Amino acid sequence: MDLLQVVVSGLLLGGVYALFAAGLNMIFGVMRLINLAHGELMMIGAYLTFALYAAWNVNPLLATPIAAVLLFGLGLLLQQFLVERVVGQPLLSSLLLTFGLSTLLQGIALNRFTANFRSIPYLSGSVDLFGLNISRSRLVAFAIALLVSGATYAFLRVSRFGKAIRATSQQADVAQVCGINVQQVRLITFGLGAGLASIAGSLVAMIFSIYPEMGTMFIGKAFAIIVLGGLGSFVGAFAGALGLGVAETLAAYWIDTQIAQGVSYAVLVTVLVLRPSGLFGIRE
Amino acid sequence: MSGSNAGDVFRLSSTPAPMPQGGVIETPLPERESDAPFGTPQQASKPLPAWEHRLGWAYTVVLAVVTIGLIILPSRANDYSVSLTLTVLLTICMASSWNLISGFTGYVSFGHAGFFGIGAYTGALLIYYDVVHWALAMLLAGLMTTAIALVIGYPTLRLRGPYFAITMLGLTELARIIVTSWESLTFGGRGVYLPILYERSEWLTNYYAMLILTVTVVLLSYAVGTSRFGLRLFSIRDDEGAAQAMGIDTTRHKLAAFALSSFFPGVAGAIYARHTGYIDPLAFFAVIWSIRAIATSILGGQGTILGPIIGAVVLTLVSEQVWALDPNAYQMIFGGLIVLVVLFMPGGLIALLQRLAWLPRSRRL
Amino acid sequence: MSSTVSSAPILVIANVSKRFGGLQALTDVSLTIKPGQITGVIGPNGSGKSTLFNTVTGIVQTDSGHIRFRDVEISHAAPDHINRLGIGRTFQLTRLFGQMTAFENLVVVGRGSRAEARERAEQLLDLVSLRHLQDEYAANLSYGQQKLVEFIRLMMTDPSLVMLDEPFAGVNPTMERRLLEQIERWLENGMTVVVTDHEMKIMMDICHELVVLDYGEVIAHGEPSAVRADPRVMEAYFGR
Repeated sequence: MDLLQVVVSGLLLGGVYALFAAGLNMIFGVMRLINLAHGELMMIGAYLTFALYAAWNVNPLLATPIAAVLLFGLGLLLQQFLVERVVGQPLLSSLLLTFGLSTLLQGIALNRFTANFRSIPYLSGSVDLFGLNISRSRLVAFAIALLVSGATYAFLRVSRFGKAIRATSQQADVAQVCGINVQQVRLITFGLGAGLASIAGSLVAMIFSIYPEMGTMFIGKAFAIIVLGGLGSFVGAFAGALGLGVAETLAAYWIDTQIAQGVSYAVLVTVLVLRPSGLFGIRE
Repeated sequence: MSGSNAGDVFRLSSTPAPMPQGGVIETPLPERESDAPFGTPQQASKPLPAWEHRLGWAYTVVLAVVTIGLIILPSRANDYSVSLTLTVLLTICMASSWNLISGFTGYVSFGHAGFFGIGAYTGALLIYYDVVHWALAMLLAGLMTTAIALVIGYPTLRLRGPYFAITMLGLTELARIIVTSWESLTFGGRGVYLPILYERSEWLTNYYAMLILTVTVVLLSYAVGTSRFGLRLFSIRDDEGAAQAMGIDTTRHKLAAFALSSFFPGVAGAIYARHTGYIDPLAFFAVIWSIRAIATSILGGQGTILGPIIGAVVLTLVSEQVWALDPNAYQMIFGGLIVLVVLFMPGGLIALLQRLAWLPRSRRL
Repeated sequence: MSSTVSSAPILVIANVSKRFGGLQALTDVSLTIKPGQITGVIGPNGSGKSTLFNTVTGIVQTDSGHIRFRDVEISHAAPDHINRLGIGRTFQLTRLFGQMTAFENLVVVGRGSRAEARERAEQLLDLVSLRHLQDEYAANLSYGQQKLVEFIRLMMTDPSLVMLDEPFAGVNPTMERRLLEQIERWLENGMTVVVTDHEMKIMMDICHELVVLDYGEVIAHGEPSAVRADPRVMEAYFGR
């Protein structure tokens, strides 16, 4: 029964990873750039949730959407004034710009919140589910992640704007010729990506402890998820995220937590070296 | 991305570091190339404008003078200034060698942190277990990273653009985790303590080792930048498909550039490990080492020979001012600086100086 | 230019097929290219001309079939290897190295010693009267000048077979004449040329043989006059 419990726990964690990776994946699809500051957007979302809870005792489940809206706004600003300027430029420009942003945001968080670990003591304890002992916070986090991922997926499939995002991902120049305002698409996509990262951050704050450099760890996981699940494939990435969650938890269970941190990088490197186009094929 | 440890390399004293390239900037170059792109048929007899030849001379003279200056520096300056100059030299080594693969071929490598860390551990452990003389340990550290680059370069250099970048990022993290986990050899997260070098003469060997490494990488950059090998690397950056269709074995060229490039962070890591006397995986495998190399190159001008050198000196000086102003704001300002350079100076200082006509437009810079 | 040279074929394409996803780009294509003459490949857009060029030059791997260049199998060789065997090509949209000067664009692909490459580059630039622009960055050259530089860059690699992908698209009549002069010179030096273009008049004039592709299949192959009269060709071009 122990093993099953580990697997379920990993699956629940994977849901949160999926949420984080989805935004990064969307941004890459639409703009062909890697947002190295994505982990820091998550970190800020986490700290906003923490701050609302610590200062005004706002329920974390209520603070989560508040932080997400704020991060959506921050995402719009970052895209409008900074990231938009390196779209279509050599890869190095966007890598360096977003890394600079990541360093900047980490610096701000270090100054404001110090390097101490913080956590939100909410939904502690565990529940008994079909004979398994499941952490309550993980269960709730997974439910929220599933809900938000589902809503995002529906938005991309059904809504007009969602279709515009997908069209731009597939062929930006054609989308533009067809009358899609690709600049607006990029703006909203970055905002959405930031919002999703923020929600993931809020959930992480409920499950683990948070610290200014937490983003570094998560962006590595997100890369692994994206190459595992296939670029631009929302469902594939979700499956990849669950898989990574399980693999990490198993590695931690069987070997140790240090090795578990390496799982995502090992997956990333192995997949790219063996299948340069990604496990499920990357259109390029 | 980890930004910890951002301070200790760029933190400087108030002693201004020497400007190794200063002489070149001030060298009067009367026959500047015309800025007008068209309709200026020149005499078609000379393949190289006259100042190009003089540029080679200028390089030789300036490099010789600066090197001699740096050799006698320790006899005139205090320990702190020497240590400071050592970090400037380290930055030049990292940036110039990064430039060899990424500036020339356009393949953005985040692997320098990994090579630096592996070199540091190789050198430190060889010294710790007293396997070989320290100088040989440093050479072996460089050969180790070169060998690793050859092994990982073959599969990874087939990956285009973003995939190569994130693979190198992932490999660096993987290397850190392996070093941390392999406690029987590396002492894991506790790190490795090396014997403290009390004697100044002993301590100065690190400075001179770094100086030799720097001169080597600068000479190598010049050799590559002015050779047909270097041109072929440029052609990969401009259009790899066309380069291949024109008969250039791009895989072999990328691999060669990657191997050359990886030697220097390996040796530099070993020297720096011996210099600081203590290493641990978090500090020596931090992504910031790659970023510093990249930011320095961009600030100076990537794909140029002088750029990384100018960038190293300027960035170090600016960092010192910032650190003196407010250590807590250091990381924020470093991040903000990178953003500003990308947005407003994509060609780097070299391009800026060329626009201002203080430097000639030449591939040989 | 109407005489035909008959000797062993320099390039043999046998039963080559290539599929991209759901699109059958080439279906069982077989043809032979005779040395020392110009073969034109024509066909409507999407008929597989570019894919054919890309398979011969190694940029695209074939699914099945053989390609032999002077009796050497090249269907699975890398592009640089194929180029070194003696097949050179240009691209539909010129692909010079933009951040390198015209001179550097030539020297970089040159064979032999550095001095030899430089000398050769100077000669070639003189040949097309572009010597005065040798230190100009390729990206700053006009489109026609870029075409010319791409043509002479090709010569730096000493090819015996040259494949030109729509060389006349978007160039003015003067430039067209200069490009044709080059092609004529190559033929005089015994080189073989394969060219594709939509300029039907030029193709009819200069080509010794024409190959017509439609939907990835060879539907006609012969002298221009014969091809022009072929009802299947008429149908492919005008029939729907």
